[in-house]
Amino acid sequence: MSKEQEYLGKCFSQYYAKWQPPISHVERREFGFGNWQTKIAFRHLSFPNSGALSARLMRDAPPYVSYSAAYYEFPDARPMPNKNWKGADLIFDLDAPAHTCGKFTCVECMGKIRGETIRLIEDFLVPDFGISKDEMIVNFSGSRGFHVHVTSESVHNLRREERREIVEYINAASVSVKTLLHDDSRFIKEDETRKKVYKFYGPLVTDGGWRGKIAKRFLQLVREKKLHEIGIPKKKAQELYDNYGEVENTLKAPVKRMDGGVWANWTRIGLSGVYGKMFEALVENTKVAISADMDSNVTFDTSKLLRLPDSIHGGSGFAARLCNDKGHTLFGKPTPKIEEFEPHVHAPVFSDEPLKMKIIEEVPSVLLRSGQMSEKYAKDALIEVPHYFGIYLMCKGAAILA
Amino acid sequence: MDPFYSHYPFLEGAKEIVKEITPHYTQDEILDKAQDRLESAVGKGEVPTVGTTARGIELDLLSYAAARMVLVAAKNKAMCARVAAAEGRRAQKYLQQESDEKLLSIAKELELGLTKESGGFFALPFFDYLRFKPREEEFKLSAKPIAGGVVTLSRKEAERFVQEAARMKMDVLVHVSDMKFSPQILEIGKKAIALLPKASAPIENIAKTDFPPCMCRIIEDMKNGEHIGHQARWALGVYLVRSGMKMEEILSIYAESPEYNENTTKYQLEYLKNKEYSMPSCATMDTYGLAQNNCPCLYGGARKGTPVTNSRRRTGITRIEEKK
Ligand SMILES: [Zn+2]
Repeated sequence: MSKEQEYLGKCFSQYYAKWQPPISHVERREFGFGNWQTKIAFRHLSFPNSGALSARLMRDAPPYVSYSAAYYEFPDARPMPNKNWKGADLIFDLDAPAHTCGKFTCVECMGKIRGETIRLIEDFLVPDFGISKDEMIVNFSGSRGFHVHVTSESVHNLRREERREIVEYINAASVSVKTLLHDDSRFIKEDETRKKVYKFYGPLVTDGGWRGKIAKRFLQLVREKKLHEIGIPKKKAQELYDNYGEVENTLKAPVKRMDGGVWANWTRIGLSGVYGKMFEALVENTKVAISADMDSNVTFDTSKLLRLPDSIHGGSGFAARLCNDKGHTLFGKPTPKIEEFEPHVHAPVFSDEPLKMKIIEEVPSVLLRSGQMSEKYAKDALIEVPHYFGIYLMCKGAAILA
Repeated sequence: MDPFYSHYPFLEGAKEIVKEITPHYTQDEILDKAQDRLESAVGKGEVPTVGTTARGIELDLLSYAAARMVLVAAKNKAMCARVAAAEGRRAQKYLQQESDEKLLSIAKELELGLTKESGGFFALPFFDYLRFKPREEEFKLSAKPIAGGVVTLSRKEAERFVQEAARMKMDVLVHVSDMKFSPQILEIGKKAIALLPKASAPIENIAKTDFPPCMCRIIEDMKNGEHIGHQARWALGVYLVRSGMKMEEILSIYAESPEYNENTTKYQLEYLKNKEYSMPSCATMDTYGLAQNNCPCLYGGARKGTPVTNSRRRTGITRIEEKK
């Protein structure tokens, strides 16, 4: 183990000395610890209670701590079926996509993924599925994203297929524009020339599910003057911005289609033939991009382990802090709300004491806890920085103790 | 006699009536009807509807109860699944004619939280929707009006959910270890099992010899009409396309599932083939909960290799090649 890893271990151990895990039913969860080489080096661990878990974390100070969203009768049994699955929380894992900021995740990347997480909660979980915010834990992953845990009993017994259905609803994999938009356009003969008469029926803002989502999103894009996001040309967009009231009335007025269905007459928005393309763009714009990858999805694969909230992430030295306001505190500090959550400000947990370091890899300017930006550091620079920031640089492998 | 319970013999109230009327009939009368009912359900996938005479109604109820007994004795999951589906379809024919109130009370007994809305619509709680969702494309969650944790359904859709809840209730084999069944009952079971639709090429001669235990298990579950998870389905698909077997041979394996649909399965297999997915390792299979304890992949507590490499090692056959 390097000098730095030893030093970090000591810091993590001190952190866990006064720490309590913010999750329920510790005794029924499986835990996994990582080392400096791999994020989950040992799994199938179990602890009889919170105290035993924190004592073990203080002793071993692992750089990564994961736990199961699943509840088991025998969390330490192997192989998996012997654990006897008793249910699982419903988990959503949102990660910022790759960007030039690389391992020093930038403020814009965090802002984007924070926005997606808020949309997952405010546009899907609460209004559609009727899940209350009291039934959720939201936490920063410690790295580039957020985790949402729905912990209420109503989700515990959801089977894999049902969890998958939920994912495919949210990431729009199961959404088909054909069910959202009806093209009843036809040709008529007028003064000896054939002329196309457009007729498009689409969702009403008062509709439930994806239908209503699409109509509401369109209206929101008009209100916020963001129609460029779905490829509407400038001139047409301006026209709609100027007539917001009319657009709203159109999408609120129920009309009967030939088949008896009740729809809004989208033809009146005046986009002639481009509705199909625009609806595709609207779906993309409205969905929350949760990956449905077989090998990494934590929502439907309940045997996967995920970051333990409030534990230290060895890749940043940040705490995977809770960020929804349920009165939880971390060492007396109240939980920040996700809307205001800024990892570089809220997730460092170590002191401001000065620490001397040597830079071994170029470091860009990053956000500091104070809200200021750090300097850029060149390779081989000798610097003195706050303790928490030194830990961040060591965890990133960008600096060593001087 | 009110035929209500003969239309829905899976409801609790039917049991009382069965107890009451059983002494009025001979065992042979009852078992003959039960055999007809089972053989029709297993062979043709349908159960005839009830006559209107009191005797017809009573024997119908008794035949259902006796048929359940045969299913328990026969311990055949595939048969149970097929019968449950056929009985569910039969119930649906009667549901169509029920009042809204009756429909709701049947739903309630089946633990379906269905309620009536204005305008002829029905409401179903989101989690009940997921639990009892029929397999048809039109029931994809994304196509449905859902708000505040409630999905709005038409009367016809509501009936479909009640049918599905009934099917799920009947697709459960009660396990009884210490019960002795009469040879007559066991015989009826055997005859009915013989009527289960057969796939053209039996899989046994390949599976028992070449496939590793994890794959045999998935195939077994599938044959028994159990709901196999997405990962299991995917792993089996990758395994089979990697195995070098012909498409018809592979399809014949899937054909033994009660849910088999040739076009969908073919499409999915072609997709797996084109994507050139790599076989998940046995260690990964273990984390999916799909690995089996009696597998040659186990070396000193750890799992080595993939189901593909382990099939070859186990049997020495060279037909199964790991594709690079
Ligand atoms: Zn970035």
